[in-house]
Amino acid sequence: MKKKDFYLEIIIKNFLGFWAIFSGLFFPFTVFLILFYESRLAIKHFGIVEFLTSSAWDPVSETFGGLAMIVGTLISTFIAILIAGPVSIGIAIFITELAPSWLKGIITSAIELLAAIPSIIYGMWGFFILADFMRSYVEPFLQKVFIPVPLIGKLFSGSPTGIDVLTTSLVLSIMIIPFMASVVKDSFNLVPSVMKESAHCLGATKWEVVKDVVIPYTASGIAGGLVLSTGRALGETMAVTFLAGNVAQVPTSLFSPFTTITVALANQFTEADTPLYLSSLFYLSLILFVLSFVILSFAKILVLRLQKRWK
Amino acid sequence: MERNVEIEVRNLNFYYGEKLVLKNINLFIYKNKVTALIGPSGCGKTTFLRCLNRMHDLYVGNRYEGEIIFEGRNILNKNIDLIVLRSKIGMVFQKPTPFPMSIFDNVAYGLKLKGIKGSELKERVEKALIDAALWDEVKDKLKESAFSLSGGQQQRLCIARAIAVEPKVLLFDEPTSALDPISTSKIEELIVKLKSKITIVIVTHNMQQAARISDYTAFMYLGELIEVGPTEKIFTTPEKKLTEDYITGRFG
Amino acid sequence: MEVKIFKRKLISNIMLFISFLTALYGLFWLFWILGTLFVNGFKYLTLDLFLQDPTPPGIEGGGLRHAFIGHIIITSLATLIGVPIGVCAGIYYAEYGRNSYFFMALKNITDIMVSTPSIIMGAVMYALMVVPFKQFNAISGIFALALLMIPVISITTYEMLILVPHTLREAAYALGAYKWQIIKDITLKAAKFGILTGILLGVARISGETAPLLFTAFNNAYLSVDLFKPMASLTVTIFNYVMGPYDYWHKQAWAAAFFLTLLVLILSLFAKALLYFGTLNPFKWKIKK
Repeated sequence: MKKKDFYLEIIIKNFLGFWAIFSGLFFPFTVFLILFYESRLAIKHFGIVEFLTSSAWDPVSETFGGLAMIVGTLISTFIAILIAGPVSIGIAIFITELAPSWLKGIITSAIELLAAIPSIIYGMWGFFILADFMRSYVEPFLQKVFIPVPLIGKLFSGSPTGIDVLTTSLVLSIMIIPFMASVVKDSFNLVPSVMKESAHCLGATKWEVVKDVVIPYTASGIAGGLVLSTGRALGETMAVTFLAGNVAQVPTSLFSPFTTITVALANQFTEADTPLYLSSLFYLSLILFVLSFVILSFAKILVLRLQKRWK
Repeated sequence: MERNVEIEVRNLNFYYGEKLVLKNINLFIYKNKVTALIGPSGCGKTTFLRCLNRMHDLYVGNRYEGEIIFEGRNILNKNIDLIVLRSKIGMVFQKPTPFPMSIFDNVAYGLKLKGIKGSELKERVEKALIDAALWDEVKDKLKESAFSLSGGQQQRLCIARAIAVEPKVLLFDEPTSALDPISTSKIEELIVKLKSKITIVIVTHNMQQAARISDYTAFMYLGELIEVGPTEKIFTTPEKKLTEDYITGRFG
Repeated sequence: MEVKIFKRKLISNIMLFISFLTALYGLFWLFWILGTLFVNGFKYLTLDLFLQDPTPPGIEGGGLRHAFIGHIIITSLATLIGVPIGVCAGIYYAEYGRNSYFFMALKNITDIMVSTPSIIMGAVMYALMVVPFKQFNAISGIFALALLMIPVISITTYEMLILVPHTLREAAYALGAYKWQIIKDITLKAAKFGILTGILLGVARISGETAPLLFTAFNNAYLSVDLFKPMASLTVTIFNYVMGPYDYWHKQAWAAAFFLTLLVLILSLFAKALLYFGTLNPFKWKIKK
């Protein structure tokens, strides 16, 4: 036991600990501080309530309100989750309950492939291929079907261009599916087989076992996965930038062009020519950061609760 | 088939993939009696038990050969409705498996699947809990989560759940190996009481348990049925040397 | 009773069929996206793409050499900064911090940072490094990507290290080793494949990132290796070319996108294969001899 080793132990521990504190404390805190600091001009000018409720975004007259971006972010995320949630659960059910072992591996690999594709590819493909397809076939068809329906018909008004809420949310949902399906599948695999066998022994069908035992057992994990996917979808930039239209208005229909916080940032950061303009963009970043941090924390708590319950 | 035979097993062979795991089993399970399956670890007793309600069908790569006659039909036949079969031949597992629901809903589950509702449902749940010797302990907290019960109570809950659907046969897979001695004796009492209404097959690695509660005992070794007969005979004057060696503790 | 059972079975089969349809739905998108990417990308993939710099806007021809080189520089330097920090943090969380509420909370916060929007890092580095220098520069982009990598690497390092069984560490303690010696000689060696896989997956991820670079490294129409000037990257170039008006830009974007996706997929596959083969019991071979 050399003296040198003893001192090394202390040095190394502190060195590693420094970087741990850097990553977990200093880093997130500093991000918040910087965003807050850069937003101070806009906060002073517009306050909190006015910025959150005004959709006026005019660089010329220097009035900025974040409502259009915030609503756009929330709506596109919401629709994306609405689609991706049930589909991901369905895929997880298929993988764990239905697929023969050779197919299990293929579908799981396919899901992992989808997850690895960079988001700009989704955006680009959406822009060149899907938007046209939506504009030419899907959206006119949807319009024909739904416009006569009262209330819902309003959602399908406007001239379909393919660059709108619907296409954006659709591509966003495709991006979420791989992640969510993996989370749900992993949760399903945590259910002890004796639990499922007990239900089978009472004469339950495969679907009844999933519905009554597997899903309640993994409810926290599924909820956690859903919230986590929401957090990620909120911050998605490249897929959305190509397909939203970058129009600072609160969307009134699925076919309206719109904007989200990330779209505004991606397109306008380099155009901001006045301090107030830039500060407003930072204000949007701050809102996005806080929003996603809160949602992701919520997801983490849900998942930790699940782990504690079933240990 | 004699009148008091519930299940007849004829020339049963069972394969895990390519491996022959159960070899040529022939056995009678008698109505309203407790039949115990004993033998050293790996002898195939649990595998055999799980053939009786076709549990193996849940997993791929398994194959049955031979016949298991129940209610006049071979239940190994591909045409047998497994959902119906499993509500007639129930199973209780080694570790308690309460569903993530209330105590009431656990016991009611099998009944609800059959479409039983309302006051009939309540009556049958209460009856099952009484028969499982759990009613007094839970009657005031039926809406509480099943996880609030102790291990022994959870196992009795699983038994109540299994008997609520009034099966003809109940299979027990080492039901007390995870429980303390007091819970164990409560469940043994329960099993002896239940046999008047249900035929019971129990796998146990505890020979004393088999001697205490069973009417018939089957000794298995390496996938084969070595000897079967009335419990008293097996434990006092076994015919095969292998049986005698196991009973007297020379191995296993 | 018979009718009820039939209905229940019917419902079960319908629901299972629906789950099959969802799997098909997922596969449908995968094939469509990858299919068009491969077809269009392959069509326009030429050697010139890698060897030539871009032509002035509007004039056909040229390549993306500047973007490929810029991308390599940015990604590798970001990795060089992000990986050591991430690994250090991960080691501390796993080996020293597991019994501390404080450090486990920090680990959870780091985990949250993994899923934080990547464009935020771009905004932060813009404030920190672009404004003071009064111009876009590669260094800010490099740090933005490094900041993205740090949480990812620390969490994967942590998760790989906690898989190492305690008994291994205890045996070393019993021989009288210091903690840092145990970490260096035993724990890290045991988890090395997992940690390496985490690093490769982290690299794959930041290679595909665009948003953090949009207003840090920005873009450059010329080949530049100057870290204090704007630098072209593959992803931002693709972004600009797709949004641009020229047809030949679109074609080059497809080709570049195809190449990038291929690279990312191969890297991810390699990382997973490394984990799989690396954790196969090496002693198996010894016994066979």
